[in-house]
Amino acid sequence: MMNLNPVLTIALPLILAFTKIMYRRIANLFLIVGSLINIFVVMFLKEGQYLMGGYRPPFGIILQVDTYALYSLLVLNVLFAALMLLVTKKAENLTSSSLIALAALNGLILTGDLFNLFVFLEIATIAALILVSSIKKYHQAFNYMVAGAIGSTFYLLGLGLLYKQYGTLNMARMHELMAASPSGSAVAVILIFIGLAVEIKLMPFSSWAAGVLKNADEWIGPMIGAIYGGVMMIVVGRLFTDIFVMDAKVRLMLSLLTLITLVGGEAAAFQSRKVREVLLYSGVAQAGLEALLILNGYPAIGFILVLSNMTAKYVMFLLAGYMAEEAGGDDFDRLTGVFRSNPVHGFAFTVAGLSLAGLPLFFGFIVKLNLLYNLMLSHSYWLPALILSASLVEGIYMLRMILGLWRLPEGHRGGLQVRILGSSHRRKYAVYTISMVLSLALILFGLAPDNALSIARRARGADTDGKPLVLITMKGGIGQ
Amino acid sequence: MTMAVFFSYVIFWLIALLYVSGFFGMMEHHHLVKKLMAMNLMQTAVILFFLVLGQKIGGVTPIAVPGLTDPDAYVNPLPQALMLTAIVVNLSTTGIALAFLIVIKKHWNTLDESEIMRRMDK
Repeated sequence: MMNLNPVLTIALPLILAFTKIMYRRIANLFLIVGSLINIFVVMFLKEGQYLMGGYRPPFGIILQVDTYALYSLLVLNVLFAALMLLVTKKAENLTSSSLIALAALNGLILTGDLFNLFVFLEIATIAALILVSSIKKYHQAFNYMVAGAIGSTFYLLGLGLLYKQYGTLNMARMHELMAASPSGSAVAVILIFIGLAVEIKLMPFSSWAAGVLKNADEWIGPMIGAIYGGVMMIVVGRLFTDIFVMDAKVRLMLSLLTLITLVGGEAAAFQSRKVREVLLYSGVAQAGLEALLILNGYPAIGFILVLSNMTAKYVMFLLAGYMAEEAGGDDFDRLTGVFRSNPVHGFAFTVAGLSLAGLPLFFGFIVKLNLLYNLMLSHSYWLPALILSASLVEGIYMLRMILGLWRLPEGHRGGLQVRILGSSHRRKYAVYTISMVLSLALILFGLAPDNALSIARRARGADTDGKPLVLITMKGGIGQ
Repeated sequence: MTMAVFFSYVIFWLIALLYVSGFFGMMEHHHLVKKLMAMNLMQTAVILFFLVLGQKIGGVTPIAVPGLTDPDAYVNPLPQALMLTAIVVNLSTTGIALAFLIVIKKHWNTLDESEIMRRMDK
């Protein structure tokens, strides 16, 4: 079987991004072909370490392809390509930025070097800024840039301290040295976490996200809210599971930040009466939960939760963007009954929402079920109680929103006359297909989760405390 | 403590001061250009921090000197190489920020953030 070099997932979009400048007329073709080729490359990647320029680590940069990176890349590239197929017209003038974003996001997942990670982080942020400027909310984009810049200086400062202490930037070597002598690295680890907290939208560093995602269209919503958020969390999963060694105090301190995010995010989403705002704050709360799991030794479940939420949020932001565009806003009153005239979109949105809230039959439910079961097994009771309470709140506001979007407004017959994508048949069917395929995947993985769960276990193995991950599967109940 | 060792500590405090002044500048100022300048201060402080990490008392510039074969005699070249990249990155973010500021100024006719927020809330 063919074995391709993972650097292609970074180099190809970059080459296309700059070549496109000479062929503006076929810019869309570059975007679509580039995204699709990347899926092809990812499918032919083999696990292993790939040296860049022939320099062996720790002297050279390496790209690390393991199960974690492989499945993260697959989800990222599939979601990215699907989005590019839908928004070709809007992306026409931003082809280069989109391709550069893809290259940087792939690099973030693959890199085995901490400084290289910073570079990809910055490239991804700069590309995101240019993409965000397409919604013409420049002040919000500027705030995003300011927050990102503060985050990156924190990251770099932390990295400097680690380099001073351990003398390496290679992730694997850093882990070896930290495991041998972890004392003195707490400040650096905290700084790096805070730096990344801006990108994964943890409170109180998530204020930039409100400005951007509240106004996001069908392109920026899935891109920043789902794809960027998911990839950044995958990076956090890599660093805080495989690389950094933390003592209990640091873990507790960082966990408090994630708990504040979980509670604050759910409360803000509960209070909101706008679809995109609900999705934004629900995403913030989910980011808190995902980071909490990663920090507290449940990386496998954290990983699968990231992928599940990434897919669900992608579908919801996509449809919310279209709805807001057609209806001229996204407050509940304006969109009441919108799904009556758009049942296919309504079905996809409902499935994604219920999965995000963790209701039975959907993938999100299986993930949360496994999470609670494992937490109970490790005699942790306050965390399951908190997660259950947060899920309850999330279930309430998600159902309230979904029912509102299905319910007929008083005095109306036959549904609200907002037709999502009523003007473009080709695009309408493309949105039907992609949102339906993704929402059906959430149902399919909910009904038959065994493969997904075993991939998560293979990707992340036993949790960080050495406890085995016990999975509730559909084949014969509970298994290890 | 020799003078050189003393100054090697002082420089870290100066860098910290620069960083903190940048951070508070970003938090305190409502004018977006001042915010951007404060952001640059923070970024410069981090670059200086990295460069100082690579220095050593009595170290030679990391370019091969004939007859000087002991690697310990040279300062660490890696932080300098890394910071070249960081400088380019900072330049890019500043460029994009300035572009945003031009558009914001055209749209709102002001760069005062509190005034922009006030108008946005209307």
